[in-house]
Amino acid sequence: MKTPVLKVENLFVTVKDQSGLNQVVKGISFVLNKGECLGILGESGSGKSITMKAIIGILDSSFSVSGEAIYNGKNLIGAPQKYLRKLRGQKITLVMQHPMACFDPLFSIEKQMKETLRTHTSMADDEMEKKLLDILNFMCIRQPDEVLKKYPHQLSGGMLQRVMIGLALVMDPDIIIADEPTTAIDAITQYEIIQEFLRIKNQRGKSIVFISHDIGVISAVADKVLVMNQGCVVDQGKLDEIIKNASDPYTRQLIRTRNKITQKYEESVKRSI
Amino acid sequence: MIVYIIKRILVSILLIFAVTFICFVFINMIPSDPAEVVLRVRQTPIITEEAIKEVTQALGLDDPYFIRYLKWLRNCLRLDFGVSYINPSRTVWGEFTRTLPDTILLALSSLIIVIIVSIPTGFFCAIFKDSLFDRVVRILVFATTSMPAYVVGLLLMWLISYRLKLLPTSGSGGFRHIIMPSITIAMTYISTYIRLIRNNMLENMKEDYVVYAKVRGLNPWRISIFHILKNSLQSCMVAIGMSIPQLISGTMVVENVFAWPGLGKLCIASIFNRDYPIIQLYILFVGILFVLFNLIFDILQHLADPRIRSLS
Amino acid sequence: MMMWERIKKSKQGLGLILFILIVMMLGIFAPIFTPNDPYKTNLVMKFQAFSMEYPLGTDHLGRCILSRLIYGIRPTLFLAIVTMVGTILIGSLMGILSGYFKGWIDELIMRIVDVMLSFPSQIMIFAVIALLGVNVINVILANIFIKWAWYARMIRTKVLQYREKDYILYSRCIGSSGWYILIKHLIPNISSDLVVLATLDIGWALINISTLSFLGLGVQAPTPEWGAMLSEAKNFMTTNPVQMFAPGVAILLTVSAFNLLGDVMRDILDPKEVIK
Repeated sequence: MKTPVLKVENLFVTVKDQSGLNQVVKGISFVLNKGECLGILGESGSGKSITMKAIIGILDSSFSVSGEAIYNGKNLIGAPQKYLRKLRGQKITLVMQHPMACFDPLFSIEKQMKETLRTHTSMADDEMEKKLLDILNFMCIRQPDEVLKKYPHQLSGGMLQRVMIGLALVMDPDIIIADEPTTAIDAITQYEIIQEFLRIKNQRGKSIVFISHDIGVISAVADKVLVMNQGCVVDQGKLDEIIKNASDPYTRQLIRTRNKITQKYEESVKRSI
Repeated sequence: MIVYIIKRILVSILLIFAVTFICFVFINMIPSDPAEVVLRVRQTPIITEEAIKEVTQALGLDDPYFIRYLKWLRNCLRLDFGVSYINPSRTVWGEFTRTLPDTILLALSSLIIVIIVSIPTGFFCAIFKDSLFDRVVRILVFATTSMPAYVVGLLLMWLISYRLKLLPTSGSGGFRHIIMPSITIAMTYISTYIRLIRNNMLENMKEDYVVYAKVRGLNPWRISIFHILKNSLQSCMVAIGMSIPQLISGTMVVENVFAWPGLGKLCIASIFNRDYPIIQLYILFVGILFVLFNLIFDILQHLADPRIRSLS
Repeated sequence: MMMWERIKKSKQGLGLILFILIVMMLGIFAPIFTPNDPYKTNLVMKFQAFSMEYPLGTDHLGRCILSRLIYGIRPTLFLAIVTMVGTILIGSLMGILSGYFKGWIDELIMRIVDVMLSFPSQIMIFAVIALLGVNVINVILANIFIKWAWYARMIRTKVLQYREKDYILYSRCIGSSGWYILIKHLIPNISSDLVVLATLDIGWALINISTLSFLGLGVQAPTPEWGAMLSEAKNFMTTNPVQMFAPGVAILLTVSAFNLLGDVMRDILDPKEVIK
């Protein structure tokens, strides 16, 4: 029943800067199965989002990438940009961290969404509009026709995040990558966004890669977890197994810190009662 | 938004008053007695104390300062700026309107060259950053900042007119006359704008919206032109708009090199001849031009930017 | 002083400084290096080609072009330096006053600065010269008049930054006087930025002064000055192009040297910001 959609093998990413060559991702391997949500857990700078950006080919020329990322029988690493561009936004989509900064401030939401559709399909204008309204409805956005006419700065971060998730869904992709989609928004919206992802996974059966530094968020959505530290995978498996018996000291530390925080929280709740 | 525009217009009106006041103070600071000057202009053979007194009274020169300012302002509004000290048969306004079209023509053609050259060059420099093209342009940009306009003008004149005999050396007339002076003026501005657009585009390229546009699978040229360039031009708009009055005032040196019969040449001649009313009108004109263009492009930028447009 | 240590390591910087020093020396000791009297006219010898006696030939009045070029360093370069010194002095004074005392003094100075910066500089120069009359000193005054505001603003910002730094608070604690603190701590801190800016602006002042002289508003005719020499040479462009090229190339080289040096120093001070 488990069919892999993305198979990453021995991925290395090296960045060239003033201080010379610097390896940021050191030989990562993992498999993403159909209908599954893979959580990638790690601190900022551990190489988790660079890994995903390397796979879809949007790193600039100062990065060099080697290894394999097999999607649909083809290796994406080193594939021609033209081919990758067709995949991006259509077959493999990405939801980014700072929704407020991700849209061009000079164009309305509608223009930017249609621009994406037009790049990948040859739909007529009214067909596109219908499709956009449908997806925004699915994302529980009230008055989607109003939202479409708005400019990015007129919408809240949570709203833009929904628009971005909607745009990631609209082309019916195989893989959705969510790069810290809950980090830049407030706690209540954070919860709602996580619910959206659960819905996408359960109702639409999408394969999701969910990147976060927050073990709580990961535990809510992910079926399988990859713990990254300094460019290496240090732990891999089901989350409750990892929490029970983490093999790596870094993972153990992550869990301990989290437990402490939960403890403190529970204590303070008790005390206030 | 409307409130902002009204506020901006009111401030500009105040600024224009300030400019007129400075110009009025200017003409009153000149080292010679205006009454005496008027007599000389009228070619009175012998200038006596009485004659000066008479003229002073007739012109209201012994009125309080502020009253004189108001009177002067009223004359300005009627476009009456007096007569030239050197050639009393000519009014200052007449001299001004005679030379203005030539200067505007020159400034406009320079502006067109600046825009045609600097936007694409800056664009490609940013897209192909650190390529051979970018490096060559950067060296050229640097070199032009070390070249005074008049030296460039003279070298062009020597090379193109005398050596290659392609264009007339100086004066005005047809299309052929305007080419060299406008290239010379454009030179200094082109380098500034190439740098401005290049750096602004590089700034924009680091923005998240560009990464997200790539993530959406857009064509890279589409991203560069419709998103990055548009955003850069948006933020460079005021600077480009403000270069128009600067171009108009910046023609002064080049007009003198190429004997272009515009305002700048008139103004330099007036400085030599101490023809103060003409200098005064020139300063007034440039001052008002700056205030007005600042106002216009500020409002235009506000109208073009959805972020600011919906504020207030 | 740290800056000097770093410049010593840069070959480009040292080369440029050497070039500028040579030009200055040529100017200062002009009588030693020039083969002829720059003022001596000799109509019989006009438009001579290169020769041992006249290495760059002679101009329309039979004067030695090379000698005039070397003597021309004096007004061209030294007036630019005088301009910059004046600008820095006034700008620093205003900036320090403004940043140190704050309050209404700051308000007043900064409003004047705003007005100065918003007005087109070229027109201001011409207005000042028109008002004061055509004269070299007025050219310098006009240049200082339009430039000081830039320095005042920059120095004020720096003063405000350093005001809050620990060692200034510390010296205030141990009871040294305000001015003493300023001189002791602030000036060395500001000076490196100041040197870079001033180097770049010497090129600017040089262009301005020579342009005004070219237009006949600055240094007057018989005095050898590069801009004025170009103005004379303009009429003999066809017959004697050397007369035009010599001062033209001299201006380009000198201005480039100052601009390049300013750039090199800025890179040394702040490697991140390569392009302004």
